[in-house]
Amino acid sequence: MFTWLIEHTLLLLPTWFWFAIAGAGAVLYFFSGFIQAIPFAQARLAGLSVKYIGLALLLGGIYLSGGAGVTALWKAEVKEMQDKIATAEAKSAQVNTVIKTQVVEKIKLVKDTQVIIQNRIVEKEKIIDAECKVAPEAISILNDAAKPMRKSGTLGDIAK
Amino acid sequence: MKRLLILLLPIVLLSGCLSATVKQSFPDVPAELLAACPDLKLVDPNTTKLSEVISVVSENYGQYQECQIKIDYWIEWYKHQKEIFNSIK
Repeated sequence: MFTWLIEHTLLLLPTWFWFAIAGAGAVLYFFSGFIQAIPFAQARLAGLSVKYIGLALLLGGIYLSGGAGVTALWKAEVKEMQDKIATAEAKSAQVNTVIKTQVVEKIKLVKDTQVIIQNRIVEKEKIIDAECKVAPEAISILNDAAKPMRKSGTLGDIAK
Repeated sequence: MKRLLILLLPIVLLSGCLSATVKQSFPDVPAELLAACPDLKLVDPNTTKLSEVISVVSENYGQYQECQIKIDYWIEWYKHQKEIFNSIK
């Protein structure tokens, strides 16, 4: 919350603002001596207050102007990184498009070939079945070979 | 005066604690690659016709080829995405 407040208030102010604050602090600090020189008890107290306020503004202004400079550098780096990521995401999307197109084309080719093969089997069915009767044992062996052999077990919750 | 300093102190100190977040999202995978390979088809155990056996076997060949394409492109996808990911420094 506090960080959010700083990000959305103090750091949004331009760098010159902090230089102005520091300058104002320096001016106040300088003139506090004159106020203190006025021969009244209240003027002395007011001068002391102005001196502290001036000093606080001077130091705070210098600190935050430095902070604003550093923030500007970080923002530039963040912008650069965001640009790189945007470029990478565009390239990634491009790769996906190419892969998607090629996969669809190749799978279509396989499916089309399958249709041709199946038609050829239907065409030659009589010739194929004329002199050959498959033993049930052969089918059993073939099916056993085709059955999935899965051991139970997955990655489970590792990624969580 | 002291109260003002007490109020200003955390602002000054915490202004150094700001963090900038740059988020890189995980690349999407084409939906075509996300479909799992189905099990191989089995021959009807009551058939004696070789044509039926050949038909199922050739369908399974086709299924294998589809899966081969998917696996090959998964490898391609990984290689390219890794290269793109590593290019960000």
